[in-house]
Amino acid sequence: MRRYLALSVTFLLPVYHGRRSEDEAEWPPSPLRLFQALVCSEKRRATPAEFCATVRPALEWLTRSAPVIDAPATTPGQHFRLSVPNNDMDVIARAHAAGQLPSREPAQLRTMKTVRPTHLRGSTRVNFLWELPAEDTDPAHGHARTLAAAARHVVALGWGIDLVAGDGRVVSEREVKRLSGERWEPSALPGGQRARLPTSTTLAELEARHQAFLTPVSEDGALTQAPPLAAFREVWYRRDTDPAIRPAAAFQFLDPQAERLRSFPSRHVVRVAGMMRHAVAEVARTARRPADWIATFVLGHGPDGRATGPADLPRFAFLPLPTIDPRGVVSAVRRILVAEPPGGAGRETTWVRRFLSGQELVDEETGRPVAMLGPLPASDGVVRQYLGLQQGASTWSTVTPVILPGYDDRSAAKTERLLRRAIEQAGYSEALARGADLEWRHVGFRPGLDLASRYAGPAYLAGFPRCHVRLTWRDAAGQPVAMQGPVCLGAGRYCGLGLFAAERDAL
Amino acid sequence: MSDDLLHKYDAWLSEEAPAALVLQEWLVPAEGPEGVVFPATFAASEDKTFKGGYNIDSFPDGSNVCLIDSVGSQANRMEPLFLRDQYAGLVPQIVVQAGQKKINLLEAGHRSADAVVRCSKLGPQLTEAFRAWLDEADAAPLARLAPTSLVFGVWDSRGTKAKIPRLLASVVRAFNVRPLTRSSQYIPPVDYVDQGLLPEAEGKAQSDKYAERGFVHVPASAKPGGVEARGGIRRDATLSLVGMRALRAKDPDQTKALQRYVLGLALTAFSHPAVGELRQGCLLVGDPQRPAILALVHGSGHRDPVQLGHQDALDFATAAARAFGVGESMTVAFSTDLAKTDLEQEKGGKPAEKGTQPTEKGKGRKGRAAAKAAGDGAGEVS
Repeated sequence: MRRYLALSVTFLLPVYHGRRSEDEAEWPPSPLRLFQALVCSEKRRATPAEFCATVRPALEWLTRSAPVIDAPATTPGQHFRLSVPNNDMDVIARAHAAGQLPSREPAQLRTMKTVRPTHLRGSTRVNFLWELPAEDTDPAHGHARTLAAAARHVVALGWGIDLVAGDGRVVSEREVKRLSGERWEPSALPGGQRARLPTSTTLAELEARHQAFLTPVSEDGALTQAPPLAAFREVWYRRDTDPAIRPAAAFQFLDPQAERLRSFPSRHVVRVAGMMRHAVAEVARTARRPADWIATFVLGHGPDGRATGPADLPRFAFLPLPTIDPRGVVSAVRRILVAEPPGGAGRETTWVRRFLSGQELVDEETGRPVAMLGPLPASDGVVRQYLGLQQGASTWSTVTPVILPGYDDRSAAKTERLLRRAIEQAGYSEALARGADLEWRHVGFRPGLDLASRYAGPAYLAGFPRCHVRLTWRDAAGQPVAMQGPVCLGAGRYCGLGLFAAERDAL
Repeated sequence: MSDDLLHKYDAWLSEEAPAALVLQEWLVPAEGPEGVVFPATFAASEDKTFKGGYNIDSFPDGSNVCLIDSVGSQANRMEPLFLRDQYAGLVPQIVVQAGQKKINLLEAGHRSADAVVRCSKLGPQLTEAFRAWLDEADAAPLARLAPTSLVFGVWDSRGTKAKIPRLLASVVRAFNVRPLTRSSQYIPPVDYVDQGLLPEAEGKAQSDKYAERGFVHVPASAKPGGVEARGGIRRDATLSLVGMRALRAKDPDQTKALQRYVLGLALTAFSHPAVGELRQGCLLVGDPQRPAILALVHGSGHRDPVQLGHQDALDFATAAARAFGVGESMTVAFSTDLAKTDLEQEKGGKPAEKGTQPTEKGKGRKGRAAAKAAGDGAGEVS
């Protein structure tokens, strides 16, 4: 059975003030922050010889891998500003010493400091977990004992007011599974939060910075300043409620002369998606992209040459966007998103954005151009409703119906199971699929939508049931989870059916 | 005095001891549990997402929490406890005299690192004390000059840069509050314009001036009117025993004496009832229906209940102070020359002359303020 070194901090108050940057609160505390706290406490406690002999090698071992973090759920507090003294009371004192009235009062010698609290919900304990080698003779086990002892000397994590009780011990896989916090796992796919981790040079840089901090003026009178810490790396950390980021490129439709906007009926999104797919394929051939990439990633064919590839085949999704006006009324399609699969690096959408601008959409039946593509920023008011803004949104509802990935036999229970399966098939975690609140019906949840049965679909999906859906993403505790888009579910998710937009109240 | 008293809390100072002592003290407004209490108000955030006022955070389950008194503010209230007769003998009373003005170190915003005492005759001794902490991990010299700096934390931002973390943190919060508003109107005793005492105001500028100087009616509508704390008001105090055990002196015996002394001071401040007037409209007393809960917290997170009365803490603190030896109380003069030298160094970036400390060139007060703003002035972990 696997074993882990668990370094834990229990916050003595259910609030944390650490920041990722000047403008952004941090949660969970980063492994780099814990590393710095361990360095601080051990530098204070251990003799230089002991630090070099046992603590330094143990800290170096910590830098070799990214830990799993088990942390309580949180609610961000509103940030506010405190007035703190400047430490220049000598201004007042000099005036008094000279028998004069000071020109300023102590209350005026202050500066503003921004506070961004994060409130911990439920537990206040954070566990950082490193897997240990199976062999007991591995030096890592000795390092684990050193680090477990070091953790017990940590006084604070975050700001100085974030007092903690630290601990360290070796735990079994079974004990890890029983931990009740949100599980943050390091991920190669972008999504969730970026966290800083120490590297093999972090300790040396911390030591150098400390010396520079203590001696800001060198012997020859030159001013030296401790530079910001640069020796760290960043890793994406995701919970099972954090889907991978889905890069997308947005375009608007112009008429072929680029004189005015062009629109298409929203019941024919599949046809619009088809024209876009064809345009991307043509440009890719001209740009000499590999033929198999065009066949699978662009056209969605199977690697064996079949017309339709497997459901999990990585490919573009072509998502025509019905316009949503400020009143929330859905109307014609004037825009389109081209989205990579979840976890995409964004390279393909960058290519699409560059090479498709100015290209024509051609009607496959007549062979005549019917629109030209103009690039759109993600900040466009309509596009934002499909991407969920920067903070995401918890409640989404369809603008085109979801085609269920199976037959529901007119059973509500089966419809629900199919919808949850569709969520997982779209790349979301089982936890999100299980926790989502779902409503479905034939009539849309938004003004301007048609009945689900009236939207044209691809021939190979004819006969599968379809419905309009409203969903609210929730975590295991039932709390709403803000998600970013695009959100597209069901068997038609690559050609614009099953597309969701964020509900306005949730934005 | 028996040795028993002096050794009473030695178990909390051993390596195997719990990590912290925590207190939950329920409070009520003096007017009664349903009385209105006025929390602290805060400036608007720079991006204006917070428009200023009370700091109330809401949670998905519908509950909320309101900050009544912050950690920094609570520390500023606790530290002057040692000015009172009953407690004054526990710490040296260091007073800086600047002309006719006297400032006790216990009331200086930056404690032993405050500019008012750095630029006094005591400055060089304090510098040596900070250096002893930095270079030799010896906190005893600072404990003899300014022991409460070890309890509440200090950052010698203008001198040695020593950052000593706080051991004691206290905060007062109210739960499930309902914010209220209030309106009022200033009514002048005389209608100055009607009585011909003042001319009619010409234009908005003059009208505003009349209002500012109290010559006309001035309404104030829907201003913050306090909160009703439906979930109660509670003070949460934390004393880090881990941090206490990290304090060192030159040898084990001195270290133990030092730790007992600082622990005694911390327990005295920690256990003193947090009642009193925090601000107008915020007079809090203990809640007789909900006794305080005191617990020792272990590294595992496990909590053990414990009993500690304020008199117990004071008795221990008195014994520990006697055993350690309270530093000498003194009144020292503020030195304008030292302050000028300090400022010149700040401009020129030159190494410190004897008796002064180096400062960063070119930053000036704004730079120091920026550096100060990056921390809470009491040993932040970045």
